[in-house]
Order: sequence, then C-alpha cells, then structure tokens
Amino acid sequence: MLSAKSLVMEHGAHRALDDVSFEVRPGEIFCLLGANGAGKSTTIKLFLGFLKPTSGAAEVDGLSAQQRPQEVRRRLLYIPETVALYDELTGYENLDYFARLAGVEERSPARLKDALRSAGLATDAFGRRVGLYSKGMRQKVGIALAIVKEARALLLDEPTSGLDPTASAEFHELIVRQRDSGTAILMATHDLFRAREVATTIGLMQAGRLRRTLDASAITANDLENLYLEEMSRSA
Amino acid sequence: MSVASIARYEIRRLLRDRALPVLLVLLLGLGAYAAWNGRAWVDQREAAIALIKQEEQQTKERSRAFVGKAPSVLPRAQPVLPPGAMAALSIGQADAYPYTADVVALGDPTQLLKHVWADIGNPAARAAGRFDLAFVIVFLLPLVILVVTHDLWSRERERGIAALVLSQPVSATRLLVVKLLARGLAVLLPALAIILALAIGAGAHSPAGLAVLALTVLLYGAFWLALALLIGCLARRTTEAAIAAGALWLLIVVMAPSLTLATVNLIAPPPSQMQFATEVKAMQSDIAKRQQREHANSVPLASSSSLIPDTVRQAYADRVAADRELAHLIASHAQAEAAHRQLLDRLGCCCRPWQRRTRLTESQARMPTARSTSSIRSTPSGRHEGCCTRPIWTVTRRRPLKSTTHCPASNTASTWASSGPVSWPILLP
Repeated sequence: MLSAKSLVMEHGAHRALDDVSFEVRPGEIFCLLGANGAGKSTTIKLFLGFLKPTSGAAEVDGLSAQQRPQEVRRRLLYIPETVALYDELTGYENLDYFARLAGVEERSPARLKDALRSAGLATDAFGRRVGLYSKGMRQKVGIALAIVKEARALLLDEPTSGLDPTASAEFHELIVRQRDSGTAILMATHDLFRAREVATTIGLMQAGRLRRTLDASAITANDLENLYLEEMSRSA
Repeated sequence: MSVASIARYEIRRLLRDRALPVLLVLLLGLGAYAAWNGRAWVDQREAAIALIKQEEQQTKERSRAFVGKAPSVLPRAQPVLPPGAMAALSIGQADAYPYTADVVALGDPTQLLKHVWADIGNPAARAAGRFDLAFVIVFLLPLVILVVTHDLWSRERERGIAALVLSQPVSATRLLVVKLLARGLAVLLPALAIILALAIGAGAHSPAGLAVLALTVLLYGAFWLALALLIGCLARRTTEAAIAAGALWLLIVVMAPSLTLATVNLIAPPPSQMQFATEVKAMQSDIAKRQQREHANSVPLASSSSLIPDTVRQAYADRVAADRELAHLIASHAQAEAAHRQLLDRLGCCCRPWQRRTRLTESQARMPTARSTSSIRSTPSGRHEGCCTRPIWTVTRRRPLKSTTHCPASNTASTWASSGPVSWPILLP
C-alpha cells in the first residue's frame, strides 16, 4: 500500500533522507522512531506530495505521490501532531467541511455523527465549537475523518505528542481499530512503548537513514529501548 | 468539492468571527455622517444659489427702468455653478473654488470671483477636503476589505490548517480563489448596499450616476481583493499579512497620489502663482503710470458717439492696450500650467480632478462684450459630480489679477449656469 523506494532528499548540501526504503501493507502499522531531525516528518511529507524527492519514489497503491498527488491524497489521511481545525466551526461542521474537501459523497448527518461517535467523541461535543476542544478531541475528529473518508492509508506525524496518557491510550486504540479494518498506517513517533504495542514493524531512523527494521512482535520493550539508544549513540 | 460548499462555510466562519458585522456597522455610521455632511453642503450651496438668482432678477428688473433714459448701459450677469445630481457624494475641495462669478462688462476683473474670496475659510482645511461619501469609499472601504481578507491563507498556514486542507484532493488555487470571492462578496455586497442607500438618502437620485457608483465600488473593491489574494499567497504569518496590508493601503491610498504629484512637480514644476501675480501687478502699475503720463500730455479722444462717454472709451482703450502688453507674460504662465496639467493627465491620476477637464467653447464663458474676460473649463459630464473624483472647479483667467492675493480658483471648473442670455443692461457708472 505505502511504498518508499530508495528515497533520497537533499536540501542543498544537507541530506535529509538517505536511501530510505520500506513497505507498509494493508492492515499493518509501520512506526518510524528517531530523534528530532531524523527524517520522519520528511518521509511523511513525501508520501503527501508536499515535497519532491531528489531521487527515489514514494508510492501509494502503486501511484507516485509526486506525479499523481490528487489521486494519492484521495486514498490517504494525514493527521499531524495537532489536528488543526477551524475554531469558528463545530466538530460536526469541521468533519462535514473536510469530508467535502476529501470528495466524500456519502455525508449524511447520521454517517458523520456515527463516525464522530466511533472516533470516541462525546455526543454533546458534536455541536460545540472546536475552539473549545482539547487536543485529544481534535485528534478524534481527525480519526472520524479517516473513517468517513474510508482512507486506505493513514499518515500520522507524532499524533499523541502532548496528549495525556488516557487520551494517548484511547488514540492508540482507535489506530489499532483502523489497522484491523485493513488500513495501512505509517506513524512517526517518539513513544517507544506505544510503538512496540501497536506496530507491526518498527523502523529506527537516524540522520536521514533507516538504520534498522524490526518485527514489533519479536522484540520486548526493553530490547527496543536498548537498540534505539545504541543506534542513536552509535551514529552520534 | 463544490464551490458553493466552500463559499458557504467561508461565509459562516466569517460571520461567526463577528469582525465583519462590527466593521459594517462602523462603515454604516461613518457613511451616514458623510452622507449627511454632503447633503448639508448641497442644501447650503443651493440656498446660496437661490439667493444669487433672486438678487440677479431684482437687479435685472431695476436696470430695465434705466433703458432708454441713461446715456448707455452695459450687460451684467452672475452665472452660477449648481451642484450636480451626485454632488452630495463628493464635496472634496469644492468649497475652495468658485461657484459664481459677478461678470460686468468693463468691470474690475479682480471682482469677478469676489464671492469666493468671502467663502474661502481656512485654506488648509479646504485642501484636506470634507468628510464625504467619496472619502469613505476611497479611504475606508479598502480598510474594511483588507481587515476581513488579509489573513485569508496566512492564518490557516499559521494554525496548521493548511496542511490538513492541502492533504485533501483539492486544488489549492481554486480553493483560495473561492474563499477570497466568498469573503470579498460577503464584505462588498453589504458595503455596496450601505453606500447606495446612503447616496440615495443624501439626494443622489440619478440612476446612471448610481449605476456608475455601484460599478466603481465593485471594481475598486475587486482591486483590493486582488491585493488581499497576493498578500495571502506571499505572507506566511498573520502579522506579516497585516503589516503588508497596512503598508499597501498607506502606499496606494495616501502616499501614491502625493508622490505622483511631487514627481510631476519635479518634472514639470507648476508656475508660481504668487510670482505671476506680483509680476503682473508690477507691470500693470507701470502701464497705468505710463498711460496716465501719456493722457496728461495728449489731447483727449474725439468722441464719435454721444452714447458712450469719452472717459469710458478711453478706459476701454487703455485696458485693451494693457491686455496686449500683458499677453506675453500671461501666455508663458498659461503654457507652464498647461505642461504641468498635461503631465498629470498622462500619468493617469484617475482620482485627480484636473484630469477630467475639457474646454468649453468660449462662447459659453464669454460675456457679450468686445473683450474676453475668461475661459471656463468643465468636467466632461459638465457638472460638479462624482464618486472618487474629488472635483475642483476651475476658472482659467486670461485677464491678470490686479490683486496680489493668489486666486485658488485659477485652475478649476465645471459648467456654469446663468438664468438666461447674459444681456440685460445695467447703468454705467
């Protein structure tokens, strides 16, 4: 579903990505772990078609994100660190607006409300302006959009950063539910513990390179932490 | 996504922001004051014109009694410039320029525009112009538009909404244009309705004038919307966008006209009116002294007609001779003035009143005497009028001023109306 093929991204003399390759199949969660500036967000932006790689290709469902960005975006949903929504509109209105932008045809109020409910948003919050929402509630609207859009792939850029543990756990539950429904998920995160819990595969990135690719089910949290620290210190 | 959906949500967001309703109420309040100001000025001017016409009629009737009894009579008229159909919208600097002239054959030309002198008031205040509806449109409407539209995209970038929007399969250009049009129309249409209602309330009833006003407001608004779009595309932060919008407003509305005028003054300096008046006065004084000396030493003119006294014939001959001697000085001054105006016209100062002048036929301005006293210029439409034109009336005098006081009306104009053919007689002094 999501395929990074020898991605190289250079900003002048600086090489932000260096020959990064991986694949995320439907029903899998690929977690990218790494320090700030490791190239995680750059990788996600390449899949969105926001950036053009120096060489290599970012493909979604066999389509190049750079050559056919609109078709790719139809299949994706991007959830950044904070889902920025229009504060003047309610959660329901924001979902309706973005669903329209996403080209979703079936936007009946019942379906939109079901999606918000499935994403874990309290019913009484549907009609409240987003300006009054917490960060966790905004993230849930983002997940509701993924449900409504029936996105085949999710790109999550540090989505639980800044969330309290309860909200973070709820969010990861939602991600797992999406995974189980067959969505391919690429998630950049700093949370080793949650990554090991939800991921199918874990990629350790450092200085633009994908140093290791690990099977999440075959590694303990302690081993993951040691490997992570080892990779980071080795490169430094 | 349909254009209507984007527009609907954009307008919904705009209305919930509360800035737009507040701005429109402010525009309504200031516009109402401006319209009232314009109406009051028109009423005042019409009352003054009615008095002038009444006085003219009385003079005419009184003078008729002397026809056939006095040795000779010469014509007198007091043409007036009535406010146009849309005058209440744009008073501008009209107070500083003449709307009537007391035209007497062989009369003292310095008295031609004496009413203006009495009405001029503080020149600095007059130069700034009045607070009229044209001011509201030219200066305040762009501010309202920019306040509502300057952060069209920069705010979304700053908040991070842009990333979520652009990750959807939608054309960014189309989205931006639709959002701008939605916001623009949400501001412009109510603003236009307010302006038209106020204009009608102020007494502007000309359908053609109102149509032109509506079109002008829409085009002017579209210009500022285009600028807002440019700012939206370039600015990354709302503070940057706000600064850019303020700077552009200041540059275009306030500084550009002044800079244009300064540039024109540098390239083709306008002749000094003070110097001109001083030179003319000195020359006139020399001519008068010389003529007095000549008359003292010469034999009086032999009268060929008993109807015109010798003193009048001599005075007329002296004035014609003086005119001929002054012609060169006046022509060079007029030439410098014309060069200055032509350059202004060429630069297309669309808000400058002098751009719109055309010369009326001299017959419209000339008194039915042997001497031409003045030529009058007018706007193409022939009236003091106009949204955004800040009109100035001009009377270009061909006779030099005897007074050393600079006449602010030395370059103005519009159509002058008299109550009929200016041929009624008055008694010679």
